Parts: sequence; structure tokens; C-alpha cells
Amino acid sequence: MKKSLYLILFFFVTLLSCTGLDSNKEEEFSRFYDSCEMNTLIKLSFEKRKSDNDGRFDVYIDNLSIQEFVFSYSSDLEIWYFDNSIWSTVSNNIKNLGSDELYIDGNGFRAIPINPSTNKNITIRIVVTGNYYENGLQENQCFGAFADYSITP
Amino acid sequence: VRYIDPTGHGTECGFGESCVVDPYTNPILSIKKVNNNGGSAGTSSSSSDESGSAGNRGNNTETVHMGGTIPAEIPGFSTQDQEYLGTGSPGQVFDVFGELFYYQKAFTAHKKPPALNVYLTYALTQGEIHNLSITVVNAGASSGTLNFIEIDAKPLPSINSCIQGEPCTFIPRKTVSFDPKNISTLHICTECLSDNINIYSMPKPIDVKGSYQSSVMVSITVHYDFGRTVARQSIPFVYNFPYP
Repeated sequence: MKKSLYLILFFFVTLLSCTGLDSNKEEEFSRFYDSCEMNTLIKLSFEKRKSDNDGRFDVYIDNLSIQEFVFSYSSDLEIWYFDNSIWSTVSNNIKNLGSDELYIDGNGFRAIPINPSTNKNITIRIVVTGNYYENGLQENQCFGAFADYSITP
Repeated sequence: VRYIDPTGHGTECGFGESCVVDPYTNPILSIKKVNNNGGSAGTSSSSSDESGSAGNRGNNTETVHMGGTIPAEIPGFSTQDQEYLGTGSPGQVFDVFGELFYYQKAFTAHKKPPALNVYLTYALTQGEIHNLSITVVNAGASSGTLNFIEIDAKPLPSINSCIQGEPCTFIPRKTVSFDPKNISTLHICTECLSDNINIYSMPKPIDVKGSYQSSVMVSITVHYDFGRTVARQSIPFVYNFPYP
């Protein structure tokens, strides 16, 4: 009986500690983008390439605003990975010879290729941040979105 | 729920299952050599006045079919029956592509021919390709959107390389739409820097001399009818250059 109680207690302690780690995880992550309004006017979704075993996939970026959105492919699209209570960035192996500054029409979308430099069976977090244009001028307020993607080799 | 493979192979797919594509069912259904003198089909564009001036080098230009699909009819677009471009305006391009042969074959195989077709025009000069043109003919009822173009050159038997190490990807600066009943052309050329969204510059010619398996992939998002739902779908149109 006593043994069972210890087991139950151990289970709850483990559960609580995990919950604590998760809340720290999100708290810590939100600090990176505290000046950006996330997941409101910009939405991310994913589509794995059916014929591609190299880990490449496409991220759909939907602009829910009527204003044009702009971001930099090399610096505003980031890939994060949470391990050992630390957020680390993962590089994107796509060699983009097209434009680095990418525009999304109002109420439009773009499908952007991503090839994270990891082949581990992990979950990564994709983040896109940028700015809107109003009357031809780029606004200062940062908007963006993030979503998790599980890499399955 | 089953649906026809959007890439135009005519293969049946199921949700949760992958489409089994016969590796020998190559989407290239028409190959025609045309004389480069006087321009080629790949330089015309009825949807944009940004057709550019990326001329082809070499004596012969090959035009190949990269694949086709049937975009869904969706609200907000024309719902009239899909018309398939034949001879007549803007069928100038089709005269070159031998569409009748293709459509006849496609009709037999899939009952309904693809309405959005992608063609690649290139000139081979001493085992290298300096210029490419990608023509998207959308005879369907809804538009497609260019996601990106990817050029890959895999030294046989391994390692991807467009420059050194990775495939080259060209992401357009702004939205490039392929509107219904329109023909659009994108150009890729060697060191032809341009801010035109229909012209892309690659750092060196594509090597097809035999030690590389080079390919071009055009990723286009269309609305596709999956039987129960209409959803957007990113579709890769791929052409593997033959090597000696």
C-alpha cells in the first residue's frame, strides 16, 4: 500500500515538473518576440513534400490582413529547437538565389521552402516576423507567427 | 476518399496513403525541337508584359512538358466549363508543343486532360544549359501561384549541387499568379541580374554533360478538388534532364 502511494506521488511530481518545464519553455520563447504581435494577422501551416526524403518541406504563410506584408527570408524566418531546457536556432539549408525580401499581398499567401539542418526525429518551431505596408510606407509594428513542425525522417 | 494524383499522373491516391507513381510514367509527353532563329515559344507571355529578353543560346531549343493538373473551380472564379486551348489565340504556344498528341494521350489515360500545364524550354550548348524558360499555360477555371523554382544537379551518384553543395532555389519577390485563360513565362538565365519577378539569375550554367543528374522543379500552388473538399495543394512539376 505504501509502495503504491509512493508511486502515485512520484507520478504527480514528475507530471508537475514537466508542466513547469513547458510553461518555462513558452515563457522563455515569448521573450524572444515580445515586441511582435504573434499569430493574429499572420498564420503558418505546413505541407510536406510527398516525393522528398531530404527533410525539405514548405511553410504556408497566410496574411489575414488587407495590407501587404514584407519579411526577409534570411533573417526573419527562423527555426528553433528546444532541448535540455534551452532554445537554440537551427539553420535553414535552402540556398535562395531569388529575392531575400519577400512580399505577401493583402489576404494572400506564400509557400516558402525550408530545409532545416537537422535530420533528428524532433519538433522544430518555425517563426516568421515582418512588417506591414500602409500607404506605401513600412510600419514599425512587428507582426509574425510561429508553429511547430515534427521532423519525421 | 480517393482522388486523382494532382500532378497529372492519373494515379489514384488515398488520404493517409501515398500515391504510387510509376517511375516510368514520365510526365514529359511532347518533345519538339524548334529552330531558335526568330524566337521560341517560351518567350511569349499574355499575362504579363514582363516577359523579358532572356534569349536562348545555341542552335536547338527543346521544349518539354513538365506536367499538368486540373485546378478546381472555386467561388470567385469563372465557373464555365473548362476550355482547353487549341489552335488560335493564344494557341501560338501550343502549335509548338504538339498539344493534340498530348491531349489525346491524356484524355485516354485520365478521362479529362490537365488544364494547367507547365512546359520547359531550354537550349543545350556543349553539354551546358545557359537559359531556361518555364511557360505555364492555365486553361483552367482558377489561378495558380508560383511558390518557387528549384534547380538541382546531383553528381552521380550522390550530393546535390547547383553551385556547390545544395540545390538552388529561386523564390519570387512578389506573388506570381498564373491566372485562368492565360499563358505566363518565367526565365532563368546565367548572370542576368534583374529585379523583374519573371526573370531569375543562376550563377553558372546547368551541367548536363553526363556526370550530373540535373533537374528543374517548379512548385505551384493550385486549388485542387479532392472529391470531398477543395483545398489548396502545392504541386511540383519536375523535369530531369537526360544525360548521355
